Amino acid sequence: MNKNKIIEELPKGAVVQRGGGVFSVTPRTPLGQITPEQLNIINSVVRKFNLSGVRVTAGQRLKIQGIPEDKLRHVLAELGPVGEACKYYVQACPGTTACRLAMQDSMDVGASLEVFLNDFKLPAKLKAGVSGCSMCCSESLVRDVGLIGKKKGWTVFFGGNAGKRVREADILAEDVSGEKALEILGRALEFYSENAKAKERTARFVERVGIDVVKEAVFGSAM
Amino acid sequence: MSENDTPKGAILQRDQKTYAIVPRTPVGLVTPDILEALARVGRKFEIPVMKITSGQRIALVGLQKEQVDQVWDDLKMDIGPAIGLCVHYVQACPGTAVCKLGLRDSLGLGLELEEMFVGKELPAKLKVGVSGCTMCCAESYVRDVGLIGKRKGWTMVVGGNASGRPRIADVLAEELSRKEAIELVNRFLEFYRDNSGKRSRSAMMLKKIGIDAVKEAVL
Repeated sequence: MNKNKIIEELPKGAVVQRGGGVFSVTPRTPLGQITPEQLNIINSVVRKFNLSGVRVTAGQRLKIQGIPEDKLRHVLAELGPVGEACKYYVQACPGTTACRLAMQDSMDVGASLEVFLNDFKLPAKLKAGVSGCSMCCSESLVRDVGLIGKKKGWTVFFGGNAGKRVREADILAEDVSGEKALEILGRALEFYSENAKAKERTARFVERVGIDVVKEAVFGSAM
Repeated sequence: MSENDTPKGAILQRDQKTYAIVPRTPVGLVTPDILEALARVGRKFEIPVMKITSGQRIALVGLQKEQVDQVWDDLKMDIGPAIGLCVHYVQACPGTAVCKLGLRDSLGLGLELEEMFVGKELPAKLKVGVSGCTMCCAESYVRDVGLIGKRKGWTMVVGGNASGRPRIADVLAEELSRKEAIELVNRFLEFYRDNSGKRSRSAMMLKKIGIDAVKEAVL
């Protein structure tokens, strides 16, 4: 896999695009939070290298597209810490920080989850959604990892997918604290890492092994 | 505070004092000028939170009531619908414009649909996802209206939802040209407008009447 080798050697956060020789970079903007300063840095890079602009992605990130190969390293250098690669993104709604309907602080737990996930090395890509209430604006039931804030605490979901084979996630736990939710997810993700095939998403993994096996791995000794 | 007091395109926040606004950025495309305008107002009005949303937009959160109009004036951008009963946004993956896997021009079709339908009044909010291949990065199967690019044309699916009660969209038609796809989206939206109860999302309508009834009416 020649192409994969090339991708591996690229600076962090760079992705090959159609046509070859042209790249995109997705700066790390946890939970979609961005400051005017970061916007200015991104904009100065876009202008300096005469790029067309950015694309706002559904993963709450900005993607700088159309970077020619010879400019890639300069772009990353100028972006500085803004250009830090985003490993597993966490999507979160504003929760109790702003929304009238929120039951829990999805931004706070989402931020902890983002940091938490960064330490994992998972077999496939992973998407996470943290919603502050049952309206479920972060689409937690169709994410690999999902949390929904309810009056008494968090409901923890695992194994959802919104792609070509949609899968509704299974519930791992209800009414738990944010800390406990991360602990449960950590155990589920460890089990997934150890037992999934390469590139197997959580949805396909849960389908294959069954949610009961996952639950046993997570709660087995504690139950 | 009554709805009438709400300033233009603004959403009242939890504190019952401040507002959020969402400028319109069709299919997530943001030019250097827009980036600059957003950074400028962010600084000038000391906007507490700027947040990239899942709808491929950038929300400005925590504005004082009197700032809302000033910020809009400064931005010189259109409002992106965020709470009304209408087409909210069209989400699209990069498609053949950039992606290695793209089979169809999802960005182009997405932009055209956005242009035609955003703001169109409907019984409930409506989300559209246009994916350039079957990887389905715009999550078309869990959108009210989804389009998926395949080798022989566009597949159109309807009635999907990604919320607390997810629903997988039903296939309405396959192998559509771009023009046919746009016409069919229009016919579906009109059918939905005329046949769904107020605040009833397309998923609920499909669940109630079934895809065959929709097919009969619009095909």
